[in-house]
Amino acid sequence: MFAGIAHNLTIYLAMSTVFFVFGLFTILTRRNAVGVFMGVELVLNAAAINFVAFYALKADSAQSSPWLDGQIFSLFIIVLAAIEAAVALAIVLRVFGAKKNIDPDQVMELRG
Amino acid sequence: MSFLDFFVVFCFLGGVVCSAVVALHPNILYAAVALIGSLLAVAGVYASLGADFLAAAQLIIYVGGVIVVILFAVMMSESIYKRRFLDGVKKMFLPTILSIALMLGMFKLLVSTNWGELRIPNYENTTIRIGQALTGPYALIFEYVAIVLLFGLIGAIVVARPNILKKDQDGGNS
Amino acid sequence: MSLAEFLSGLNDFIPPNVPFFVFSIAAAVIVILGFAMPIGGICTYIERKVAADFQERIGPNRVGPFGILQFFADGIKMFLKEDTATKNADMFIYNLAPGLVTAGALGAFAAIPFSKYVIGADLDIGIFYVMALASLVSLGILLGAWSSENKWSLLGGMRGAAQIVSYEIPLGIALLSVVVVSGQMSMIKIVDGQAWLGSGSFWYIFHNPFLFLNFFVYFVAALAECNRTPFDLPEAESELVSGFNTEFSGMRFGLYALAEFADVIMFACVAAAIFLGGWHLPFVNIENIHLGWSLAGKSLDPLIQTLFMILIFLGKASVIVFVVMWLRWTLPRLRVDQLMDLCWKYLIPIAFFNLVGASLWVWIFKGQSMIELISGMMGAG
Repeated sequence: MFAGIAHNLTIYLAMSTVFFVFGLFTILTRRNAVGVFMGVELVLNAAAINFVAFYALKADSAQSSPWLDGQIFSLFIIVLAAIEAAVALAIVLRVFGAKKNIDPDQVMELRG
Repeated sequence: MSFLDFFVVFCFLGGVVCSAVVALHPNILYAAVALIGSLLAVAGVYASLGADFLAAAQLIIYVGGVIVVILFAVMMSESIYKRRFLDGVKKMFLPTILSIALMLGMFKLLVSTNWGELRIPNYENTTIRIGQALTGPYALIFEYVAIVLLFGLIGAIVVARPNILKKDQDGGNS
Repeated sequence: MSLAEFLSGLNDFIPPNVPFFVFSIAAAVIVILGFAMPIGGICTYIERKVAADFQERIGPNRVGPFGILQFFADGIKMFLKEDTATKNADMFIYNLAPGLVTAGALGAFAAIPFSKYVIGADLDIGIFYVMALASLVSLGILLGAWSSENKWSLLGGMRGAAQIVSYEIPLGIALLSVVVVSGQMSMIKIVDGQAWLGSGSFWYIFHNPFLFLNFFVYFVAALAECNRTPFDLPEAESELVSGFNTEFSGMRFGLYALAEFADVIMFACVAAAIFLGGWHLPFVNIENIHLGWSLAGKSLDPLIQTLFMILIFLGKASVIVFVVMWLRWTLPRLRVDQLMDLCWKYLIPIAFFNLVGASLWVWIFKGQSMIELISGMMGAG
């Protein structure tokens, strides 16, 4: 029943859809900055899967460029996620040190 | 059904279950552990799509780096993991409706479109082509990302450093 | 071979009518029981004997001749021990963590080239794959430490994770400098680039001075990666009871110990393959040896060559493992701040300097090694 499923785009797109929706849900409902951050990671990974999968759809056909565009974009996503992790978690630690709480709804002293 | 099919289905199911746990589990440490699982599943998908280099990079950077940092943050801010950190049922209502609607819509789009065959079986060494792309047409973006990485790291160190300005005021005791 | 090709190729391996997941589980069990446990066991025996020699003791000598069956007895003891856990332990993560460590340490063996024909999977990204799987170990240590609800464990786990994440950088850079010289990431091709062909191509450690220095950077970083003395801060007995594995008993502890030995052997094998020429010896090329023996009309040469290759490779690796054990009983443990200083202030700058140096060497001398240059000069003079 699953024969040839690896050579069809559907399962990859389904996986990225699930990742995106769960990531969005996480961002919306978590009351914890680290949790929100995990949701962002899920959404980024969903986008990265799509880049690689759609590149595989067009790879080495007439329409594709000779460079591995999709994979390069995913590589940049991974690197930027690493930067994001460093900065976001440094901020989380600072906020936790100052307020003993990392609920993003309650950190609003800078609100104008 | 070939082993590759089995592997992809396995990664798909693992990814779905793990991402659901990330979204729904009340304990943040379990969410972090489930995030490991979902990132590993993504690495598996990269591997089966012929993107070896990406799969290994995903393992090294995400699983070996980002997750460790997340676990550090969870463990250092001690009282977090003892507290339920999902929203109450009332506030969950709208996001749930939105998510379900989004998922249904996207799945409908997915099923109703004919995507065509993938061209994975050109088993090639992707590392060489990624290297050529990063030093060729993507050189500028590569440099840009490197600079962003540098500034991001400096910024993170400055932010996370305890009371760098206070030090002068209380005689360097802190 | 790419990962996808390897996965598709497994099809021909699996007997018909065996479900794939049964095959996967069976393969994992076979690898652990038939490969990891004997190796880990023999390694514990050798380590105890070596330690005894250094301290002028006899060491295990009761079970079997020279006590060589001691590891068997230890294994049985570990299996039969009561499986305890602390009262508040987080059982799911507590069970998961040793598995993660073992998976990371053993999975990397798939890309280790024991001989030209004996390798799990000759991946295009060989070295990178090994490093990627080795990074799972830090997660296992951190999670196991956290879940056992013990302050010593948590301290040890935090130290372990920080140490492994930090030392991955000089390790990776040192390996990268070899990749720059060889132009390959596939293990078999890297080893074959070090064959003695008469033209003076030789082990990469003697390729140029920068790689020679980077071998030592690699060795120190690898010591820290597998938590061996003088970098065994995560399980510093004198400060932290036993560190991250304090609360583990029975087979869970066994898996941690096994993973540590597997890690040591894996990094020794990588060093032998990457820097020390794998199965290649100076002045001879094993593949040119033809004894002419045959059995039932088939030439035995490939078999004999393979055996020689495996012996040479394992010989080089075991010399490195011996040096690791030697260091354990010679050097005192570092302090935490010294550990981090060593990594960030010394090893990383040295490794980067050597990477740049090796790249310049390849660019200036067109990839020739020191020996080729010298023999070229002597030929010209």
